[in-house]
Parts: sequence; C-alpha cells; structure tokens
Amino acid sequence: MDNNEEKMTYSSAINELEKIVREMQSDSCSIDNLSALTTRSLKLLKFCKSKLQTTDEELKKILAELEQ
Amino acid sequence: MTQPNIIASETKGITLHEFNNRIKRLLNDRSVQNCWIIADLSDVAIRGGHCYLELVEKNATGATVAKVRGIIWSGRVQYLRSKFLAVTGQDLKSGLKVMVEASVNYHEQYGLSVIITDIDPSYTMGDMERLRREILARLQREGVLEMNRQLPVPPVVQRIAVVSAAGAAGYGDFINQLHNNSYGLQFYTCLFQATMQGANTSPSIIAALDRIAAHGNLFDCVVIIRGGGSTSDLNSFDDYNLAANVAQFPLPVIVGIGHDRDVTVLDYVAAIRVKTPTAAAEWIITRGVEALSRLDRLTTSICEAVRQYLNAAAQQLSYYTGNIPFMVSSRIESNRMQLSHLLQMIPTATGGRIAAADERLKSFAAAIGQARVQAVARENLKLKSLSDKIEILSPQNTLRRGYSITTINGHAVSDVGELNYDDIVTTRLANGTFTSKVTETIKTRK
Repeated sequence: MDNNEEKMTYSSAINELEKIVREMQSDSCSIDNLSALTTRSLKLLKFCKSKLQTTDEELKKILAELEQ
Repeated sequence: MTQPNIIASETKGITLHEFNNRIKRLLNDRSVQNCWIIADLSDVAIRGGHCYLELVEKNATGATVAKVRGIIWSGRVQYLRSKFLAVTGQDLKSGLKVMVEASVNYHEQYGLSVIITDIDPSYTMGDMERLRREILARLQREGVLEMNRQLPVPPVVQRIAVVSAAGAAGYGDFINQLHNNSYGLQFYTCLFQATMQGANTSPSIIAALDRIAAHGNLFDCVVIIRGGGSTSDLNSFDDYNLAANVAQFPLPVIVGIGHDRDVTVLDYVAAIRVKTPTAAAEWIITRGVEALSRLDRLTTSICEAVRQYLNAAAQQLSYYTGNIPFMVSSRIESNRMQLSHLLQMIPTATGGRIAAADERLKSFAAAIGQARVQAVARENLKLKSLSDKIEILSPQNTLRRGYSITTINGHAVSDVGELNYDDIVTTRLANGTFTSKVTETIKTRK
C-alpha cells in the first residue's frame, strides 16, 4: 500500500475515496469492515488535503528552473 | 469639351496653384462625394487630434491594387471611434476591414485625400465574423475543432503553464490572485513568455505551446492570458494556425485574453474561456475550493456512516441488555406455568389410570375365577378318564379276564427265552397262584 502511495494521484485518491464512502453507506458493509474502511478513507482524505494545501518544494524548484 | 479652349486661351501658362484649383473644382462632383467605400485600414495615426490613415485595397494575392490617404477631422474622430468601439469592441486600427463614408478632398498644397465622415461598424463585424466562420469551418472539416474542449479537466488544477507577456499587468494580477488565495490552496505556475499583440502573436504563442508540450507531464493545464489594456487587437487571435494548435493541444487550455464583447476563434477552441486573467485565476481557485468542499463532504459522509453503524450497534446491544432479564424471567414464568399445569394434570391422569387398572384387575379376577372352575372341571374329567383307563389297565382286572402273570424267582417272565427245562415257575391268576415245572419252551414267531 505504501509503495502505491508514492504514485498515488489526487484523481486516483479521490476516486478510491468516493468508492469507499459508497461502500460504507451501502447495506452490505459489515461492522467488521468498517474499521478498515475508515482507516483507509482517513488516510486518503489526508493525502488529498495535503495535495491541495501543502507545498511540493521539489515541483516548485523544477518549474522555477524551467521558467528561466 | 471645354479643355481645348482653356489650353488654347492660356498658352502663357498658369500657376500651379491655379492648376490645382482647377483640379479641386473638377473634383467637386457628387459622384465622389459622400461615397461608402470598402477598404482595409493601414497606418492609422492620431496627430493633433486628427486621425490620419491609409485606405488600401488588396487583391486575392495580397498585392495592393488601390490606395488613398484618409483623414478624420478631430471633430469627428471621437464620435467615430466610440461608435466603432461600441459595436466591434475595438479601436480603429491597421488591418481592419472597414466601410466608411468618404468624400474626395483636394488641397492645393497637400494634394489628394479623402475625408472620412462616417463608419459602418457592422460591416467590420460581419467581415471578422466571416473570417472566424471560415476558420471554424476548416477546423471542423479537419476534425480538430472540439478536441481541446473535450479533454477531461482534472478535478483540481494546480500545475499551470502560463502563456503571457512577462511584464503585462494581466499576468501580475493572475499570479497575485492565484498565489494569495485565502483557502491555503497551493498552485505551481511556470511562465512561458510570448508576444500577445501584433502580427507576431500567433507564431509566438505557438512557440510557447511547443515548449510547454515538451514538459507536458509537469502541468495540469495551460493558461493563455493577456490584459490590462482596454483596447485589444483581437484579430491576432482569429488565426487559423493558433486555433489549430490550441485545439489539438494535449492539455486543457484556459483562455483569458481580456475582452468581453466578442468570441474569437481562440476562445471557441479552448477548453475553458474566461474574460480576463483575473477571471482565469478565479476559475482555477474556485475549482480548488470545490475540491476542498468535496473533501469536506466526504469527511462528513464518512463520519456519518461510522456514527450510524455505531448507533445501530449500540441500539442492538441495548435491546439485548434491556430484554435479556425480561426474556429470562418470562421463560422462567412460562416454565413454572407449564409445571403447575402438569401438576394439576397428575391427579386426574393417575385417577383415571388407577380406575382403569382396577377395572382390568376386576375383570382379570372374574376371568381367573371362571377359568379356575373350568380348569377344575376339566381336570376332574381328565382324572375320571385316567382312572377309568387305569381301572381297565390294572393287572387285577386283566387277571379277572383270564390273563395270568408268570414269575420266576420273583420277576415276571415276558420272554420265553428266559425259561429253561425244569425251571419252576409260579403263575398268578385272579384268585390265587400255582406252581409248575417247565417241560418244553416253544418260541412263537412275531
């Protein structure tokens, strides 16, 4: 899972998140799954939020070089 | 007709001024006054409040076939410029195709020119529209018209390649607004400089797009912005090459080239069209804010789902907690009831069974009594018949019927072979015995 997170994009994360929420809202979700789904969804939420609001210094540097 | 006479009567020569005066008089003809002329504008310049320009006509190959100087006197300039701007969204400038009302003017000192007194902006609009339609139709034929507009725009646009002139006010506004947004959204911009007005606009923007395409994986979208000035040279954006490049660009293109009257071909082919650079920044920020609120909604949904599950589980537990004692006591009560019912049943049941058993016993006793009498009678009969048989079989009885028993040495002789000559035997009859001597034995055959 951690290896995949390196490659995870905002789009893929948000899609997975939507899927998990639908699953959590469905009748077929057991309370035993709930804990795993909650953990995963919180991880994805954190990833998405950080993508939006935390500076990617490396990308910033690459673009600054490109602009010169 | 009159000219030969004039020449003939003035052989001494006339002044140039006089000559030019004659030209001027000749030109005072209604056929060259207040004519509506279609021409391209060129070398437009304002000097001393007057507007000087050239009216030019070119043929299909672009060669000039007619040309005349034109003047709009200062008293008319402001009115015509406003009128033109109101409809076309742009100022009078070189390159525009116009229809103007003009009258020939010949000045002895300055020569020939035309004085422009009115303009029909709708002609220019129509011409620009025709050009635009031609470009759009060609893009459509080539199957590229909708390509950029059909590209999926990522849910959040953060890495932005900006095509603009470096010092432009519009670029500054865009960058400031984006990087100082109040939502903590992070954006990454990279400027690809281009000339945004004049004849070089199209090739310059195309070159910038080529540079961006070489680093396409670094960006979510391209923003083409220009702005600050109120007047605009939109013709540069109604360009086939530029439109074809933007239409086929692999990243969504956002265009904000600072006008709101008209839609250029560039606006039409770009994925997103906004009016100004500021509006472009707003559009991008709004998308980020939407992404943030989508995350908030998902957070709420997750919390709500978890809360509902826990509530349902708690409810179920509390149901059992509340009901188990009741269920137990009710079970006990029902067992007790059952027991007491059974207890009540026992006397009735046993009573019935004892009476029945009693009845059976009585009937057995009666049967036994009867059976005993019958058995005794039967036995008596049996005994009687036996005693009769015994009576018949008794030796005494047999002896009386003439049979006798012969004994030797105290035992009865049943085989003649036991007897030998001279043996003394005793014979018993019914009423006495006698002794005899064996004189002969004869064995009879059976």
